[in-house]
Amino acid sequence: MKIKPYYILPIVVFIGMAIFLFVGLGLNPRETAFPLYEQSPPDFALGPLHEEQPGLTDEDLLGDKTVILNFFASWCAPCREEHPYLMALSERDDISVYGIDYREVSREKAIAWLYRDGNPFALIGYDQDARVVMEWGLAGVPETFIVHNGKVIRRYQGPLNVPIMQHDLLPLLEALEK
Amino acid sequence: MKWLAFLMVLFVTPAFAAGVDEAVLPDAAQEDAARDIMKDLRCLVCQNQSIEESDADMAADLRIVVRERVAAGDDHQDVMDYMVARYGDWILMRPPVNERTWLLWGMPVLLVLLGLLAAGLLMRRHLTERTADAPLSADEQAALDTLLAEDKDQ
Repeated sequence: MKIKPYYILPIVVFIGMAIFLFVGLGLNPRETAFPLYEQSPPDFALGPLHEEQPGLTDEDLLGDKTVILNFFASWCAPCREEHPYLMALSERDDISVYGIDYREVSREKAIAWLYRDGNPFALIGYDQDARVVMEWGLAGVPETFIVHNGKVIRRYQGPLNVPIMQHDLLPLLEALEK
Repeated sequence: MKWLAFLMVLFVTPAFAAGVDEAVLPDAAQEDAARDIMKDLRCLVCQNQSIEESDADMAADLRIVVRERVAAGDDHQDVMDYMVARYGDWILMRPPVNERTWLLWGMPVLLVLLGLLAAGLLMRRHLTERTADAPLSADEQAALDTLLAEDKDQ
């Protein structure tokens, strides 16, 4: 039997769709847009988590050092997962690690957690009504941004992990230092 | 009937009206406008819901901001622009037609056109095959003539 060209058309269409959908499976639907990329950080001024400490404003992000800005909450389990990475980053001299705490049931609990497990943040802003969280376009916590020379250059949605640290964050810091 | 009653009890869920726990705007027209805007904004947590339907904390935060901006005199488009500036087109339940979404919006039209094309081609082939039937052979023609002649005689 002679195979007419259009007989294989359904197969071609099927394979095309399969590839299209398979690629789609690999995308992360939680990843949202990043309008802040290469932009200045939005204006904000947050009070502190702990009354006796300073808060955090956008001015703090514009210093000479590269800033790692982490959005977290003490009730958020993935935030605890990534906590050791932030602790390690906080020991470096070439960067500043700052935090924004998105809404707590109890501020005392958040303070107690940081006291017990270690506080990686040189400065913490407390965002009870999510206004600053919204300015940064967050879809949830945790998220981590990198601000360098007054521009937001990275966004990591979800907890920091080994692949992010090894293949992106640490090499990037290395490159920025030069 | 007992089991039926049991099932009915099982499936009774409290009627949650989104936003009842929040302060609605005192002006009913403004509240309606705010609700319309909420229906067009995607919830960041449960992505198939609008923030009007969602129970997520972040959706509640967004609802508060929407009401604030409507109370401050922003119209539908102003609030949408505000949200898109922060979250991108992603936040819209109905994404705009642009160079990244033309395929999404155009796909139904494209599929209909493809279907019409396929149907047209099939139809044409069908018609040409009919007209291109092989002519009768001499024997067949003779047999047909005999039959027709017999028919006429009766």
